[in-house]
Amino acid sequence: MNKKILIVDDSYSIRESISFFLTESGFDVVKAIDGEDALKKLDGKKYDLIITDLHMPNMNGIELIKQVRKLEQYKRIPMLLLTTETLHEKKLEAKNAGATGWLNKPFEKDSLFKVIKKVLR
Amino acid sequence: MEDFKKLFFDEASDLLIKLEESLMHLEDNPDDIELINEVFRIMHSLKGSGSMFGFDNLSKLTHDLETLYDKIRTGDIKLTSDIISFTMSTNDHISQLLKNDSDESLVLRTDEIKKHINSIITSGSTESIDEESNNTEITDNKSRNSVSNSNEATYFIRFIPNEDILSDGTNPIYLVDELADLGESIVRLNIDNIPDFEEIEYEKCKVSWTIILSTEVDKSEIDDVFLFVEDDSKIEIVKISEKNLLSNFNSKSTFEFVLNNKENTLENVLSAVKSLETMLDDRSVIDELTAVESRVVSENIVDEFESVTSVGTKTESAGIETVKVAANKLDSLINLVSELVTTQARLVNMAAETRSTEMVILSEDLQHLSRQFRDIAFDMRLIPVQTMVIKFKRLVRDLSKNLGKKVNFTTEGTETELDKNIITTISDPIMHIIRNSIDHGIELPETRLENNKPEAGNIHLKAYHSGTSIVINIKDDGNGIDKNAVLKKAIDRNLILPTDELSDKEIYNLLMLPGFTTSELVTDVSGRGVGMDVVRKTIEDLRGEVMIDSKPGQGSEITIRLPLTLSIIDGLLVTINNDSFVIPLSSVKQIYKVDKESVNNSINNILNVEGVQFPFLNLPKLFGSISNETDEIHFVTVSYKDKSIGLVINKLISEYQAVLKPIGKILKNNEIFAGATILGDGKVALVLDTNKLIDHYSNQKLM
Repeated sequence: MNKKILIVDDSYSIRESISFFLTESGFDVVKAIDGEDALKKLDGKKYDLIITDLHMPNMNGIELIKQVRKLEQYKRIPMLLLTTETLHEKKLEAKNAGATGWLNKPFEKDSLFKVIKKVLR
Repeated sequence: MEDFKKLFFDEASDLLIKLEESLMHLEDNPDDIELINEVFRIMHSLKGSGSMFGFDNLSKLTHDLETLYDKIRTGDIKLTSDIISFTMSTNDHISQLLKNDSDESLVLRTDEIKKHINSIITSGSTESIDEESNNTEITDNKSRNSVSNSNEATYFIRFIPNEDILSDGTNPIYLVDELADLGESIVRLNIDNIPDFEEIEYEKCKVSWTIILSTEVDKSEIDDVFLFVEDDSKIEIVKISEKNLLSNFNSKSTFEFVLNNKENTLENVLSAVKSLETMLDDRSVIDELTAVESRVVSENIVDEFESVTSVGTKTESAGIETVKVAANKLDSLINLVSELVTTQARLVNMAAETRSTEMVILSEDLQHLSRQFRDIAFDMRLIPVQTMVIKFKRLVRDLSKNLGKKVNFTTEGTETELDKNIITTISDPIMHIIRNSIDHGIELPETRLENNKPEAGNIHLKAYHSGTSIVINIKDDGNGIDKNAVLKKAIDRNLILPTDELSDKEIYNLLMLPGFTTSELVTDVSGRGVGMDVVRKTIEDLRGEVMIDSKPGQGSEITIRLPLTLSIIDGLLVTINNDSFVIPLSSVKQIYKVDKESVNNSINNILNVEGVQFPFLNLPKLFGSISNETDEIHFVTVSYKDKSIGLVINKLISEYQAVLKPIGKILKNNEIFAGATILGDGKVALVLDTNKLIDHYSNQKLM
């Protein structure tokens, strides 16, 4: 069965392009526009990975990661944070909130898959 | 990517409208933190997406604006009406950048605006923004560095994950795998810290890894593997040699020994490295010499073993010694081994009858040995499919050039091995198939472009094991086969009746009937009518099978199924009218027990078994049953082309590995047997060639 990935980003173009690359490589993709929407889309269903943007209206990426980790079912799900921040402290903050890893924007298709490979087989 | 640019353009235009709205509201309520946040987020979005889609200037500008509004929302800078109106003016500039990001005058203006933003930031707060822009450059350098170095080196890596590493979704095994993918490695899992079963906390990670890695990549790439875990876990990466120390077997086993030792410390590893390096230096001279020598030998051992193979395995060939053996000596070895296996099978039978335990043990030992002997002997005749691929590559290159077509030829699984005799025989038919693909299948570049296909066509050859056979699959993305043209021609040539109803696959397989060619225009490459029928005959003579499939406009696919070796078959030993026969297991699909009545009462030789209708051959009857009184009958379904055909037989005896012997001259013209084999009790059993058997009897209109 295909791996299922939830993409959370308020930017339409980024959401669509990531989703295009992933679908092309055989992943099932569900899209959410912000943290609140992401929690709705999770809805107890089985996901293999969550990729979320950092800055979003309603609920940002860090907050989303914290919320997801509180849910027993998603305690161990890999979560990647998309960010333009290059400061190491910001990444530690993400890590402490429960993110598995991060990916710096802008990124190429290759580095997207390289990072996914680190957390998902 | 262009499509996404368009998406971004639309999205950015929306964002700019939103931005303008927010700015206007801000003019009235400069303290509204929600509005400031909104502006910040819009800048952030523009920056992030812009950089993704190549709008570098736009992204740089919005980056600075984002910094500005970040400082405003944290209270470092107070939002004045000047800043708001300034932001509005940049708004227009951004929409121009959106139309043309690299326009020179716009770029100049961008720099001016950026300067202005920076002056607001510096005058408004003491912190400078240099820090962050520096950071971006560092990452740039990093990616550049990783490309430059290509020298091999060996590293000692110790990875002790934080106990809680599993809690954020990290799976440390993936990281170890990623490391192993970087080059050659020896991985040792340390489990000494796992507590007793009663005390295990299953959410804690108590294991660690010690790894020796030889790789060409930069150390920074090794560091990158641990990017997400480097802060919490203990990671030690030490370069222990500037050479690839895992390239030969000796050093590998040395490292394995050291790592498996309890004291697998860096010191111990380093001292092992020292002794290995001196050894390697001594060896390198000898290695160079043997490398040259073995390349010469390997080129000669099989005539098709052209230089490509030895180039491909150059590093390994240094360690392998090859000996040139005449093919006929190998053949007689195989014959003798076959005799040995047969004789030994009789011995096992005899030993069982004597009921002497010693005798049984002895014969079983001999059986064990002779099986190993047989496997090695057969293995000696196997050569990789790769050996014939070189010829194909040349063919594709020359032919596509001649015909003015562009063709990419790709292969997969060419390390799959096949009997040398099969490779020699099969190579010409495959050449013919590829020739057909290029000549009739792949369209001219212009036509392909018109049909929205990439200019260059693809031909993909894939070899793989499937049960006891090897499958070679040749697929192209050309124009496919014109079904109607095939049908028309087949009817014209009286190969089929206009009233015959054929499935698509059956139609395509008409191509392989003797005297068939579809190309309107006979070129000098293919299409002389001695085409696919010869291909089919050659393959069937090897006890193989060939199938054609095609999708109009999308390409054709030809699948060849071949036995692993010619001289031994895994078979099903059965009796028909008290005589023994062997049915090759490769074609057997399923075995059913049926009652005699239903076979005898069947109409048109169709039998319904478990809800499926099977056409069948009543072998006891066809083979001239003397006594049709045997109670027991079985129904074996075998694959025939795309269908399942039932064979009625009497008794099932066992699975049997038959050493195939040619049948004598008297039966030479009898096609339905692939050969004969000698059973354990010395009796002879005929081996059925199910395809030809079914062909033979269906031509007699018995089905």
